Amino acid sequence: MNETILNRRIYPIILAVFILSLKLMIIYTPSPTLPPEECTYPPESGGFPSGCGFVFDEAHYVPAARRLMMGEAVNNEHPPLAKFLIVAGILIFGDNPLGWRIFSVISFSISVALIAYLAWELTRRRIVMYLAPLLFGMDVMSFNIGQIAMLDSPALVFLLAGTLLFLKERYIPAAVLLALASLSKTATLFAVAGLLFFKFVQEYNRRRSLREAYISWTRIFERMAIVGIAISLAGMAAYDYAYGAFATPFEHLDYMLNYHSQLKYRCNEFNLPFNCVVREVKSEQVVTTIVDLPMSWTLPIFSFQPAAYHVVTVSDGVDEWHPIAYWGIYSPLWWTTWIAILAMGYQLFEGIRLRRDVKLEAFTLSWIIFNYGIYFILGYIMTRWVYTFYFILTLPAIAIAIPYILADKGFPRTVLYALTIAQITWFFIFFPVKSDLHIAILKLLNLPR
Amino acid sequence: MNKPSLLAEMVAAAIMVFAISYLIHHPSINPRIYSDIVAFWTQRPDLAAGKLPYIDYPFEYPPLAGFFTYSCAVLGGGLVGYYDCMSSIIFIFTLGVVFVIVKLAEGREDKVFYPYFLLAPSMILYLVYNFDIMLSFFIMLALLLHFKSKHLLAGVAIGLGVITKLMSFLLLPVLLRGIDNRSRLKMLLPALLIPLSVNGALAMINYEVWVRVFAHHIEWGLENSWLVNLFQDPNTWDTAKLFSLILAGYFLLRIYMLPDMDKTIHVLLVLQVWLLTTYVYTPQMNLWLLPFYALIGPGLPLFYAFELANAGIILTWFIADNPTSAFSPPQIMSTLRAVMLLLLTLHIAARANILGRRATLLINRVTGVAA
Repeated sequence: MNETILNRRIYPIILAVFILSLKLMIIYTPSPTLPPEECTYPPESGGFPSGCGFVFDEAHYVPAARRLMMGEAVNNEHPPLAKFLIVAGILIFGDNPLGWRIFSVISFSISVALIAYLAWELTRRRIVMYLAPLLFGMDVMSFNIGQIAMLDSPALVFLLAGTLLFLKERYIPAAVLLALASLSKTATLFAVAGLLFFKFVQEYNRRRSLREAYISWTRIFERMAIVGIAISLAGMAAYDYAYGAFATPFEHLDYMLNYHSQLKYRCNEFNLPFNCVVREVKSEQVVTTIVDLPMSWTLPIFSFQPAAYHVVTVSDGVDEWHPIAYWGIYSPLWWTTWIAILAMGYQLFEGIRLRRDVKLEAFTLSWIIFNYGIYFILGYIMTRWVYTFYFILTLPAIAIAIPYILADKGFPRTVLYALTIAQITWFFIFFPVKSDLHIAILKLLNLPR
Repeated sequence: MNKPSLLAEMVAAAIMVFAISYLIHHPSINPRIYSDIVAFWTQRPDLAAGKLPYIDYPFEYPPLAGFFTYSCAVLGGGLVGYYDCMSSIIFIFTLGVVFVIVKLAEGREDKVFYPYFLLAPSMILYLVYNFDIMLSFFIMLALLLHFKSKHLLAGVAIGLGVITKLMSFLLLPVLLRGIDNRSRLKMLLPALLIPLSVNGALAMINYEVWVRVFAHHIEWGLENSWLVNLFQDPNTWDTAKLFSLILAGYFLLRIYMLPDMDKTIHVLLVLQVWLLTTYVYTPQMNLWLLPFYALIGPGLPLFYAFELANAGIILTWFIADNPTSAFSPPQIMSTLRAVMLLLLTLHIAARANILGRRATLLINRVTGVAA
């Protein structure tokens, strides 16, 4: 029985089905009370009313999907694929939370399984393969963002599938999937750059000559670039021509680049390196916003203030609790980032020095540098708005690296198990939709609820 | 009857092509074909007034080009005198290129096919036009001096090329390969010090004006680049320029990293790749390539289509309402020229055995060359 469940092919699927079941159980929460027509165009007063049933950035993407269905080019600052998956969900299941969220939910569940396969591909350690997807799948932020109709979850599944094929050296299908990821969310291009950098490091470690490594790397890069760019441009062109959005996909790219490079914050009060307080006058009122900068994402004592993406508070006069609470919050896994960076950095250095295989080390560090490190440049130097949920794309590498480090590098196994239990407990506490029993257990254990 | 020497025949051809180019752009002849050199005088009162470029007013070309222009403006005394002076300098440089080609040919197995240089439409239309023949001379001279192991002088030629029309620095990574560190240093020092010292002096005299030379190029939009078909709206050209620089950076690195080969071919490939990827590819820039085509000899059937398209740019420029916009006649010509240049580049790469067997067969089939 255990052998079957823990089989390296079956286990990821079982875990994915488990996560999918959890997600389907709560997919209708929250649900709209207002008809779609009242939740398609934002009112002049600002945001959509709570009756629209949107969680966080669903307020951008669900109306965008509706307007796309009406033939309107909209939300052009982001690539179109993930929004068309929302459209597909609505066409299949109707204009309701199931339709909006189904592809995001399925994508996240598959991503969890893919992390298990990636962990196996990179480490060949069963313990890593068992725990990595668990750590990621039970990360509250990832779970929540992967629950709602946003771009991140479809982007992640394409990215991870592409990464898996890339690691298996099947570069053409990898390029196809990575192109689909970039057609879902442009930030995945950072990860693609990380993968290419990883390959270069690996080639260098094999050949010990920058020139030879470069020549070998270009063969891979060019094959992938031709396929990937062709698919990305074809996807953008199809959208642009069908909707009359832009004359060419290159002009669309220009629009996206300009849009994103203009999203800059003006800091009124720096609390470096953790956050910055921005005060803006909106509708004759001073609105204070805190920009949580990347260092606050990964340091436990200086963690950012959790963001209430969608929180419903209930009170009985004495006590109050949150039966629905989609928090934008870190988890214990986030706090292990610097351990992963330092340990993998040291091992990479040693591995190159001793001419050992450095696949995992090079992969982990490249992934973290290009998915997390990039926000140091954007957030601190270019003062571009950065959001804590951007860290989701970094997490798969940390989820794989940490069990590997803690299981194999002289640590007692209990440390790894304790981390896993902490991650699961954290997930239990911050699970976004809680039943009465769930609330009662939290109350009994005197945990936040 | 004795057969004339290659040098004599090329000099005769150079005189002929120069004379035609001189006449078709001559400011006293109307109608004439546009030339930047004439336009400098007619459109810039500061030049005609004998003011100093880079100090009194910005001049968008590097200092040696500015020096020649200023000297001719002062010495010429009027438009025709200025034009004659500039033409004379251009003629001397043309002869210089001829001489260097003959010298370079001595060390090569390929037979020189000078019509690719001296009978090319671009030479007629764009010789007495801008400073490109000067850059071409410095590039060829640097190559010759490198072959003669005169690395210091090769560096001087590159440095002078940089202060004439900038792009001779593209040669450095090719020429620095395969020589010892001492020779590398000898080549690098003048190649860097000449532009730095000249520009440093000008910047110290009047920084405000000097810096506008560079600002001009940074702010300049797409010009005769195939990218205009992809970025049709001029408001998107900053992204187009970024795209162009990424392409140029990648493909130049790719060319620089090629295994050791004939350096003449290697430099030619570098220049072709730069012209294929840059966002400013004015038609006179073809003059950088022509001496190389002459050197590597006959057998480039695409050359004629490439040159025809390049000539078409200026010949259609003034009949277009907006000659820089996508699908205008000059930009159609530019795009055709880019396609031809791409095929020529692949053809030359195939000739140099850089491409794989199948790619070589394919490109030979496309270019009509018997395998």
